[in-house]
Amino acid sequence: MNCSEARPLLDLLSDGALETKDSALVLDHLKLCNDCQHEWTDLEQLRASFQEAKDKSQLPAGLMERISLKLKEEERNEHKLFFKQYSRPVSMMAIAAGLALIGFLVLPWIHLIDIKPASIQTASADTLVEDLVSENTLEPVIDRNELAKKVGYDLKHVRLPEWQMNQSGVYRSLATTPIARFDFVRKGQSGDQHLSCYQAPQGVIQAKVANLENLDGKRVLLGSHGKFQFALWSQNGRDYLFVTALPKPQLEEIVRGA
Amino acid sequence: MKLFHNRRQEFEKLTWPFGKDLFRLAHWRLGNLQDAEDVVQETYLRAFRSFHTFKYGTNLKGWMTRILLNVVNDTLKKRIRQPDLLTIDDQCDDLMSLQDHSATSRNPEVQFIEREIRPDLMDALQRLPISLLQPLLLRELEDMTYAEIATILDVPSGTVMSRLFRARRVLKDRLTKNVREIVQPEVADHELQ
Repeated sequence: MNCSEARPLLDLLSDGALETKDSALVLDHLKLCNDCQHEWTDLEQLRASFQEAKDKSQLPAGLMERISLKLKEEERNEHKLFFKQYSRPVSMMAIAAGLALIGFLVLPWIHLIDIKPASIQTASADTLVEDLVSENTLEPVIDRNELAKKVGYDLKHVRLPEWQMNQSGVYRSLATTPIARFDFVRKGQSGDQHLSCYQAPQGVIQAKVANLENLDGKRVLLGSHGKFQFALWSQNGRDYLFVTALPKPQLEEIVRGA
Repeated sequence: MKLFHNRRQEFEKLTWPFGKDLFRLAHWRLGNLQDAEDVVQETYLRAFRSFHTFKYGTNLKGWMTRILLNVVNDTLKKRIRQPDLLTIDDQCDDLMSLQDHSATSRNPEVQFIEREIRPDLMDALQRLPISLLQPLLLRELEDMTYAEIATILDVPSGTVMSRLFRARRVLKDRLTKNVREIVQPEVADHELQ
């Protein structure tokens, strides 16, 4: 090994980054070369100077404690910032979560709640049945068109071939939406049979206690009040309430054909 | 609250052992005791803020050292800049020392350093360009390997070796020149007598 080869390796040897075989070659060269030996000595002296200074160096008293205090302060600021950033979103999120929870609990039941527009007040089927025999609950209107004007909506036809209309008019009720009423009569074996038919926009008439039955595709609530049987169903945007003193099977037959 | 508390405690537990080394590096790099303290404090704050980005299993001291060198550079940029007083070779022409040589003037802080480092060595170090000074300090003060230095400075290991070689030769030349400057007047005086 000559000087040009050895010189670059002196630093590596000093840094302990030279392989054993190469180290031996460089050390052998140093024994024979005064110039490289001088260079090596300079490197070692430089290293010794650094080492001496390193040994003297000290950490200023209290520095790490001061840094620790700064970190605690930083930590507090982080904490404040965290709550400042998230306090409002969290409250909004809480409100949203609350609404979602209410929705989650209520939605499954919402179809059971008969929601009506605010302007529509409902009328109870029971009340309507009771009022059949009460006086002054019907404002007679003979003409069908006139009756339609009075109630404010067009009146649908129902098919009752065996029955003859006895009277018609506007039912006086507490409901804001007028209800039309048609009273029919037919001849039976034991005398006249009577059927009263109420008609109103869908959702106006309600029955609290009734059984839901399917009569030829019509979903009909069947119930009774006193001596009367009634059937309530919705069709073509209208509520129909049929009331009669006839037995339930006969009422069901009438509803099927209507 | 406990989450924050544990994070700081963990950070301190892991990084506190590097305090002395980081301070020494900053001290030698800046040549100013107060600046070194400020730099170390800022280093710890920055490291704490970005501690979540540190990858466990990698070199934490190297990570802290890289942050410290960035803070040192920021500090030096705030000082009055002076052009590099040393041109080593063509490759180093563009390397400018950001160190404030005024920091080496005779003030109590510098005198503190002088107690640690030989004045001639300190002067020679202060005149080194950053590209040579940084690997030299990381090697001589921190005993870092070439690979560690290369990672911190983001240069190839071969570059670290060559820069260390040049840094040592420049230092040796500077120290020799200083010796001559000191000796020559004595010779002149002697000749006058």
